[in-house]
Amino acid sequence: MPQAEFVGRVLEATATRFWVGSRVSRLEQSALSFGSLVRVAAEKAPQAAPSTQIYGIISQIRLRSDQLVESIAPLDQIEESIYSDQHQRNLPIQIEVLVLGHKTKEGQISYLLPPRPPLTLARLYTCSPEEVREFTSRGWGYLRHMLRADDAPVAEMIAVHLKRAAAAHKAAGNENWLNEALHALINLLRDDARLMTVLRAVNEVVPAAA
Amino acid sequence: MPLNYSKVFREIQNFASGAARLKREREKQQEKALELLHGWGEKAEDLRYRVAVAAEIASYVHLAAPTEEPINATFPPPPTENCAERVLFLAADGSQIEPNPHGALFYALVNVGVVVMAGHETPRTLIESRFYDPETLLENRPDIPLQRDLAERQALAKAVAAWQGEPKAEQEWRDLMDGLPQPEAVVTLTDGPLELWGAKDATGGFAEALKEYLKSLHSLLAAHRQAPPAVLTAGYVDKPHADPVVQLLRLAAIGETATPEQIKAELERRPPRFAAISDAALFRRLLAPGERSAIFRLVSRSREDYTGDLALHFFYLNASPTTGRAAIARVEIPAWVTKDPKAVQTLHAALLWQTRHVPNAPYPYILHRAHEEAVVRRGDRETVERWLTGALAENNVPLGSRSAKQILKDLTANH
Repeated sequence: MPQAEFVGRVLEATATRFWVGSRVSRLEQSALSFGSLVRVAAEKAPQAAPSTQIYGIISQIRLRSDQLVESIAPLDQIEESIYSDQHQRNLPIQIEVLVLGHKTKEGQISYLLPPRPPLTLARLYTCSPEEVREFTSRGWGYLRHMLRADDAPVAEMIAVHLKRAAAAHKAAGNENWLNEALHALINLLRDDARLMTVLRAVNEVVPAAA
Repeated sequence: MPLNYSKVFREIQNFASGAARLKREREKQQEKALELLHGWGEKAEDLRYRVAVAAEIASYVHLAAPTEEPINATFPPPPTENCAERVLFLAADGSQIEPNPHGALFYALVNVGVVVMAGHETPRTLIESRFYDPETLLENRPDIPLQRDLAERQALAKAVAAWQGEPKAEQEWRDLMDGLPQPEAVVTLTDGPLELWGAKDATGGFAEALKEYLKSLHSLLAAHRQAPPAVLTAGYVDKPHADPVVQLLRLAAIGETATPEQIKAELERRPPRFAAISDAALFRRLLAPGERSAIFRLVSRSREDYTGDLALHFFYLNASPTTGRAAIARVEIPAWVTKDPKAVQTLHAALLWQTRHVPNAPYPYILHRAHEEAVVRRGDRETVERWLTGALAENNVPLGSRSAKQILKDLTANH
């Protein structure tokens, strides 16, 4: 699993989610993808800031087009250099991040929503395996934020997250993390019709897990 | 109410009622001008004499002079296959933040985007920015658009020098040009005329800028002479409004013979003959899709600045790939490009290849991309201003303040 990488900067934020601006080239060069665990760090965190890091999961990636792309798109043949050039143009990519928790000033991971959303232009990073382990080792409270996201593909997001987090824990010798996570998930969804959908998605990315 | 709508509406109605008559008049003038263009196709010597006399009489002329090619000649589109492999394209375009004497921060910025296209690889880009602090602005009072134009052209010269292995080339330019495939020709493009424009008075630094620009052109010429490959420099003027060829036809319209007095009278004639048409209107009718016109020499006030191999020339190009609406551009080139018919053909093909990538917008792709790289967006401006504010504060330099006029303008700017 790759180390933490800079992804982009916060454009807009609310208490429960925020949006980050990035570029195609950065997306291509990084391991960033749907379901990645990410964290936001302000460039210069003010003394009074209630949290030092805000954690979240990528719930949507939107590649925006412009009129140039729309003009070229219908062509049967696109010159190779023109095609690849579209991926380095300043076309913004918008990444939506669902907030899962934060790290307090005292250095504690909390699965409560941060007291304040991240500030605009704060830097977003992917989490390193170590950071993934740190964030996912305190319990399962953060899963409820994912389950609450009505307009995101919840089952796929959870499945991808479980696969990656399980790999990070396994690399550190914890083979049991995935089973514990699944038990917690079943418990959270025991009266929820989405349980089977989530388990099927988990089964697709981590066969024999669910 | 932001407009006096009733007045504007009346004026539009008046214009529209006269537009049909104007269109007929324009067509009549175009017919006559085309007739002259064809009739004088083989009389280059006589036309050159008339141009020389006109330039003697009035230094302000902006005339086309015939070259070896008949003035009514048209050249079919050369094959554009393999242009990507045959030509190394370089383009530069600039944008700027002009100083605002009413703002709290007095500064300026010139931003130049450079794009390199070689073979089928992803185009390479480089941005060169120059910040002008208040001290420089107050002491030298630079003409910022002129500095932008100069920086664009200097960027191209730097790129070509780096490509040719100039030992003094800066690392970022060497990186930009490193490992590019060897082409048959290098085409360098800027948007707009090749001639440097600016107020030619003592302030604004036009003379100094021109000197630096000529240095860059000489550097490109030196690279060309180091051939192969040929270095073909061009300025691309999309949808031009100027009329140097029409002005030439005014001189032809005097008659079979023309005395200096008749030429003077023609220059002073008001309204001038063919006042309703531009060169673009004329060549829209002459050039089929992809064709270029004859090459003309530009006789203007600046002809003494651009001499010898730098003398300014141009041709018209119908960049449209299909019949219907022609897309006329004026392509300005220095004399060194005109000397080799093969080089002109390569440039012609290269420009057509560049204009073929975006449907319904036959304009060189690389120039559009250079522009896109160069544009200073609101966010960029805000970043520069934040840095400037922070740096001044850290050094206990008091910030300026907006003028009262600016404060009031800002209050209504978003409405």
